[in-house]
Amino acid sequence: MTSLSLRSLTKRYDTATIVNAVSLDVEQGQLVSLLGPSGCGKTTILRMIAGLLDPTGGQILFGDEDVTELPANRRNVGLVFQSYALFPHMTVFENVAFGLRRQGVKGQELKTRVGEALEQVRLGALAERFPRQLSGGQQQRVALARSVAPRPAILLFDEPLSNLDAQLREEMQIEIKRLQSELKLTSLFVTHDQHEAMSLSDRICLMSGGNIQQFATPEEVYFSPANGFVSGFVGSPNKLTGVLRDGAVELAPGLLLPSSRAASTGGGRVRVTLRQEDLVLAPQGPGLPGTITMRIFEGASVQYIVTLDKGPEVMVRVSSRGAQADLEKDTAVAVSVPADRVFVSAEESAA
Amino acid sequence: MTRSCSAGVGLIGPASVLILAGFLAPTVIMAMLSLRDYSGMHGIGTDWTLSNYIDVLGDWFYMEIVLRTLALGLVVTVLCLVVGFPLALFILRVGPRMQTVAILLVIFPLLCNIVVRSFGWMVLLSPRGVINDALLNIGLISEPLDLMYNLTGVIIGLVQIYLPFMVLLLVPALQNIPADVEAAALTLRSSRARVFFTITVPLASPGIITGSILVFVLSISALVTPRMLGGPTYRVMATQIYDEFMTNLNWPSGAALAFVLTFIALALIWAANRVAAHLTRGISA
Repeated sequence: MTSLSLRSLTKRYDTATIVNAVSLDVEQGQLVSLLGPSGCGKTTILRMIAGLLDPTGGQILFGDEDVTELPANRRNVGLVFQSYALFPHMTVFENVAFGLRRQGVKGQELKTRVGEALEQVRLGALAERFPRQLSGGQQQRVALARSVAPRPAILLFDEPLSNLDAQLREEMQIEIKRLQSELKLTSLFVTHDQHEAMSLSDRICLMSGGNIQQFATPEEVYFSPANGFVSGFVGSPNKLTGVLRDGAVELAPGLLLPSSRAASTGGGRVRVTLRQEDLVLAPQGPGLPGTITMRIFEGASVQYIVTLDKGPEVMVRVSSRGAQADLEKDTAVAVSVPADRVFVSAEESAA
Repeated sequence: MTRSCSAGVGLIGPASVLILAGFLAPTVIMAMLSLRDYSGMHGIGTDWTLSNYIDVLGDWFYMEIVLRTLALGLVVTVLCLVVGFPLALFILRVGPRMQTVAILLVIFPLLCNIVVRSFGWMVLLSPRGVINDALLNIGLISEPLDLMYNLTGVIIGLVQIYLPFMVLLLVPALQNIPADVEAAALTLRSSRARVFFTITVPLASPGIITGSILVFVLSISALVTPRMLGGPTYRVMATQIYDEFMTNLNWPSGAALAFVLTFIALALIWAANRVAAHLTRGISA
């Protein structure tokens, strides 16, 4: 058990910079997510930590130990792959025993340790099966057991849930969270799925273009996005443009949206991000006038597409048990947004 | 039903006729021939006998040829594997453009007739050939090495000729190994060498086994290269069968020898498949 620190970690291929001087600290026992769109450098960081890729510059520290030059097989990390990467020619038992044998564990102790690891992922009964005889979810649980069995200093996850269907993904999330907090393993979790990152992480490191955009708790990332990229990435926000005028954004001539987050100076074109769930619908009253053009029932929520008068379309999501759940198509509505939920950013920061 | 049935007969008909007339019938004739008696005075007789097989299996002269052929096949197969494996890995890792070039270079020798290639090796390997001349000139040796008209020459020739088959079967087998699986083994504290022997080789075993069977069977039945590089007195099964038929005119004996060769090959393929089925339990369905 140890902490993980990255110091100006950089990876360049020819002229392309994939990871740009990233510094990051993961405290002992914490789970941190590297979240970002594909190509943001998150998997590259993970592979450098595992020792599967050589960094161009910077340092990787496990606790106080600099492991930057250490080969992968001497780093004491556990890595869970998106593809599971089980050894197909070995039984589940042998897969889990693989890392333990390299540590010199054998005989009865090996059996006990493998048994423990398989019990932790509730697969004790399947030890003699081959990986191809298991379902995707079971295979990923074997992979999880295999990587924690040798008691690694750092546990790394490379989009481990992306190949699973939605329901299984949720189950596995809980499984991972439970195991990680039971074993108090310092973990880094790479994902492009914000819900996964939100629900699993102690802290989220949001990345784009090889740079850290925000490193904070899930609540902070959601409620106080550091910049336009973060507010545009988290949630499924409406992305609009407007002109800044006296603490408000003009989306279209006459359509003014007050924002407490707008910089005082006005006049420039800005990007505006509005979370679907932050928008409030009312039959009439203050707010931007518009008309419902589509209603989509999603179970727990209802999504409306509202065309603002002389303005853009916005998507609004409300609770399906709320007062505004049954508005019909072509109903005239007023859309309002709390001033502190109107995120404004300079247009060029659009990623 | 009837229409699709007659269409089916029409589709497999030509191939069936070809196999029946071109393969099955000659094999049956050969099998019968191998059971006929033979004497130098009267040629092929009309009596049925097992003496041709008993002669082959009981005579040390023939057994030596059989064992030599098997040893030759084994050495050629192992060498093809040892040379072909790194080559296949290189082809996989060299990058897309060089990969095409490399595969073309591997296939290229197949475009050249075996007789011509064997002549090429004679030019290189003969006592006053290119290799011996070069070694003599730089003073590494004082006497020409015996590179030809012995086992060495035959092995060199056969390895070069059958190497492409091995490589072409190893490349797809290695390609099927996900990179993540090897990476996983690395992070589980295994050195590169250990990953190679515990992960890469077992997972490539389907290709290793098919490649080895192919090279082995081709090697033990090769005629031209052993004859040319081994010389007229170097006997393997294929050259002996040829001699029995063409020189001794003892067709029954040649046929019996041919069937012994065939059964050895079939037995080995069967055994290799059993081993393969066990090794690849987890890999293939």
